[in-house]
Amino acid sequence: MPFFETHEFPIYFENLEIVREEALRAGIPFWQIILSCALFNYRDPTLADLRYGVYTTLAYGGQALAYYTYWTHDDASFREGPIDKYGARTPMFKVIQQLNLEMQALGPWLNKLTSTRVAHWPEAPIGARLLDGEGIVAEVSGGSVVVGEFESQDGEPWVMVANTDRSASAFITLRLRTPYKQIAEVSRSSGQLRPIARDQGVNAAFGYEDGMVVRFWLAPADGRLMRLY
Amino acid sequence: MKLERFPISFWVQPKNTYEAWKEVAEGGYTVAPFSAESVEEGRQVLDWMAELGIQGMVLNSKVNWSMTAKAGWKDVVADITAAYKDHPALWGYFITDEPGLDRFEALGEIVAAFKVADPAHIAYINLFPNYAAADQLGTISYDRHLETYLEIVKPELLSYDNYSLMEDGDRPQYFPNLESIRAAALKADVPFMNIFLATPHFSYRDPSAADMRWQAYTSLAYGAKAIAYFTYVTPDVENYRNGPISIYGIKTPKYDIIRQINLEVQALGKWLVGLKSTSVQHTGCAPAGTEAFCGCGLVAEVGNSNNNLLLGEFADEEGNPWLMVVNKCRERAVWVTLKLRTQLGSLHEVARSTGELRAIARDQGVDAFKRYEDGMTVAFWLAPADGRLMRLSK
Repeated sequence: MPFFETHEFPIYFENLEIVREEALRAGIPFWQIILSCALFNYRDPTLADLRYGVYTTLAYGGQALAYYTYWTHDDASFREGPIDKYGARTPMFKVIQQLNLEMQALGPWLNKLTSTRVAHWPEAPIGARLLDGEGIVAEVSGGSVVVGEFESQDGEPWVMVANTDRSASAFITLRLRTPYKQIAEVSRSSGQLRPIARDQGVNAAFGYEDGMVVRFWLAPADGRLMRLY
Repeated sequence: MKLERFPISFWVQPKNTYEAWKEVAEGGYTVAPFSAESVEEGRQVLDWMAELGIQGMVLNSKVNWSMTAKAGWKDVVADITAAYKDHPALWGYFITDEPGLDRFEALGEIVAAFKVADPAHIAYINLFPNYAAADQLGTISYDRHLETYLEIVKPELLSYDNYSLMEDGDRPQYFPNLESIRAAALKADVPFMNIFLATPHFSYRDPSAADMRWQAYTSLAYGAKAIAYFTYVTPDVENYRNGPISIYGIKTPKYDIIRQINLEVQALGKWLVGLKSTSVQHTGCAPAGTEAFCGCGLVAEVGNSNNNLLLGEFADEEGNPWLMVVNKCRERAVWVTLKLRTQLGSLHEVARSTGELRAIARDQGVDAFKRYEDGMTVAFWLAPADGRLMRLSK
């Protein structure tokens, strides 16, 4: 990830766009490697930076992920990897462990899906697309997001929404243009599909003649994977 | 009413395994909510808790605010108290969370029934914060909500929750809520519990170590006799994240942050349970709804740079004055200098390592306090968001 100590280089999404498109054209999965240690003038990635790397990759249809690095190289500029130069776990270890367990829950579903659309709202970074509302997601509000649309092998639509704000939570409202009346999310604790879990059992989804409205909170840089059926 | 031990509790309990309750005990919590499928399982949990030196609060779905609508509800109370009341690790029974005024009559009957069936344990209810809507409270005034609750329900502990740490700053209602609760609790002569934020969710921020310390120590300075954290285990709903225990049952960095605070509160708590809060003042700019430092009590003067302190004064059963000083600044340590107006000649602090009273410990044995004809001066460092509990005596 091009996150430096003093600035961020705005080519991250453009790179994802190109890789996604070429992988789809070639019919092969793509794998992104994200930064998990500090080196040169790359900053020590924060918890939110790591989560951002993971969930934007997944929203773009990434089907594999790796971290650079696990063990911290014994080189003067490398530091703060998950395992330090003495072989001890650093705080980064737990950050990545949590993300990995989440991906293990989402992965078995994601690996059977094909990415059909990906778009940003309310602003598109350089080289990326703004949501045009022509897909399943007709409108999104409540935060800065990247929306990935997918299709399963039997043609069912899936949606992944990731919060591109790394410091603020977002209360997201999605308007979905769909004949389907049900929506489920993948629970990252069990890996199973379930109704979208709102606090105290509040309804997350509402059906209308021409589609559905779905509401939920997203933590900073977090994502949610949902299936329509 | 006096609690025997300072409760340190939480919401959202782990699974009923010995290892999970051991982690709770090691985390410094002293009262743990639990639910069980059977009395046998419940007593097994309490046996483990007794071994681990903590106490349990029974959660049972049959006990709730609406139970009085069903015939035979007192049999439910009789059955549950009979099942657990003799157990040495029992702390109390959970009744309900955040009731509005329209539920107080029923809750009064339930609390009374529990008192008859088991006078030794607490029937626990938690109240709304002061930023709850009038439709939730059933009153337009939060103080009136508390007053009617204490009159009608007659609880043995006044518990409330207040989550004021938002992603875009702090809610201004945090200190006014402590003020309202402290005043109501003193008037009714019941101890109070503050439940504060540990697990970020909605637009509540992920509290830093200093935020956690700030919530704990400001509560103590206001005279809280119990604290609890929302939550312990991270619920797998909404955007809940980074609680002390993750959705995968793994300890997070927050577990260790809270364990340190809990061990400190255990050391201070054994003294605090016996103290009565006599005044709470803010130096510098006092938040709306709080008392500004006047220099007219035990503390006659604070140092020039001491403009962000919380001064809680207390009295013990022998009439000795106690003082808790909290640094409200969460970023910087403060060098505190106080002039105390007193004829008493000794000053001690509670050591958080041993829980014992000792001379105020300055680095390299420098004297912390000096006596004068009309009082004493005391000086010490306070870390960001930290507090110090001191006793004056002859």
